[in-house]
Amino acid sequence: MAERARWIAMHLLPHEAEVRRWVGGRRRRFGGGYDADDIVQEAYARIGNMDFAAIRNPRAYFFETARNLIFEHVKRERVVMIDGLTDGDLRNVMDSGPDPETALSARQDLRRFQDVVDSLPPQCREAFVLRKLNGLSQRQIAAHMGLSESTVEKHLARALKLVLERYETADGRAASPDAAAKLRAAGR
Amino acid sequence: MSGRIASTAAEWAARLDAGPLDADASARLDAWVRADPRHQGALYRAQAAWLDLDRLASEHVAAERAALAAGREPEAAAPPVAAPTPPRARRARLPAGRLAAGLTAAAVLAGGGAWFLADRPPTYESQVGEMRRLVLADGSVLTLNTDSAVVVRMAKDRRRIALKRGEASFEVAHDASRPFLVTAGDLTVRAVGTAFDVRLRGGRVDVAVTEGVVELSNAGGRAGPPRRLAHGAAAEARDGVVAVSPMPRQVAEQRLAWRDGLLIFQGESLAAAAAEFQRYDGRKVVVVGDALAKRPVFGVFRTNNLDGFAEAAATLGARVEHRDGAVHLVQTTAP
Repeated sequence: MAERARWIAMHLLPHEAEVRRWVGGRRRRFGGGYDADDIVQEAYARIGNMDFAAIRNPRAYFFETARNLIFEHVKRERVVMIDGLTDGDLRNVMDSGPDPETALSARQDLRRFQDVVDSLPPQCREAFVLRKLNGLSQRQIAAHMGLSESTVEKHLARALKLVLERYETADGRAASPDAAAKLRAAGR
Repeated sequence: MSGRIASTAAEWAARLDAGPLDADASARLDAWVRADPRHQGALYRAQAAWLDLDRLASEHVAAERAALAAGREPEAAAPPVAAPTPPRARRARLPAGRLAAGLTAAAVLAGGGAWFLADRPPTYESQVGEMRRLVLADGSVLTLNTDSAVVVRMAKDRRRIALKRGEASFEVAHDASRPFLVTAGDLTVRAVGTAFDVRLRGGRVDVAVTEGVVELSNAGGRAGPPRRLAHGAAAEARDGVVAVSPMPRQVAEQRLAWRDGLLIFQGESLAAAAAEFQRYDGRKVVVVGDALAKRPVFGVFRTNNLDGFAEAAATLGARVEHRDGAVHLVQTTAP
């Protein structure tokens, strides 16, 4: 389990914002009754249940999986026109993105950590820092802060929700305007 | 809507982070995950993000330390961020930037500070199959292998870590005024700034040094003066006797492969390999048949891939049986 989480953290999360943006673009064009969240979450499930170690190019695979899921949804809803979803189109998008290895630079990662901590209310922040920076267990944090374990858990869940929201747009800020333009062009 | 799914997934991830679920919670989680593929995907995603925060945190600390060492403001703190910062987060007495300073203060407080020294020093544990990376208050990095436990005591004059169970690897931040002491059983490993691995199993302690020099001493000092162990050497301590041997690079890589989630075998017996897999898996591994148990094993496996190992064993002349929550490898062919 820890291994899957590690793999997903390393190979899928950094590309999520990009895939999400691409999926969102399809939606505008075809007015399909699907949501980028739905597609992205289902893509995580589909890839996470595979023998992911065999996936050579996770970023491309993430796009392909999202594309296939869109197909499935579109088919289910009997929308006839399917455009901009061919292999060629997909390749354009994938080629225009950032280098998979550097999708998120270390610097952005650091800023994200700081941003997250910065934006938390005081108690939540303290619990989060004790857990992630100091590695205390939830039980130890509860004892230290004089809170119930379930309150500590709620604080940490809240921090995680915030982190998850950041993954939706994180590299949207990182991508150069040039890459964004190419992305739009690819969807034409 | 999906925002709600992500939110529920985050709650489950936090719940799982607290420890194993009881039967009731486990059933509820199971039902939720099965109800919709999006639920499962959202949980995978949430757990991945949660785990990744450990890496972000350790990189954050490392960057901050490097920046402070170089006498400049940490980069991470430099750019103004949009998120609102309460004024009290500014801790001007520290040279580092705004939030970074806040974090450092918190880290120092937790690891080196007063409130833990009082009575109970913190114990850090990993579960079977889990690997945990911790950044200590001094910036040293400690990685716990599967099913391991350490107690950390940070004081002004020394940094003391007790390995209670399993295996841990250390990258020690240099601080000549505060030696870094790791005890495992009777053995104490003393380092100033170096990298090494300590494994405790039964009465035996294995130490492997991958960087710098450490000193080994036995409790009570009956083994004589401390012995020096340099980069590229390994020691085995048992019953008060310490045996030192050179450790070729290849062997060092093999010993530390667990940090990459790998097990490397270079001719170890199948029985020994099975015991290694058992460390990382909840299931017991039983090897039946002397000839099979002695078969040498070569290969690279993922630590969590006991089933793949069992399949490989089948090609060496074993039948794989799953019963009583254990994996039995039963010899089928004559040697």
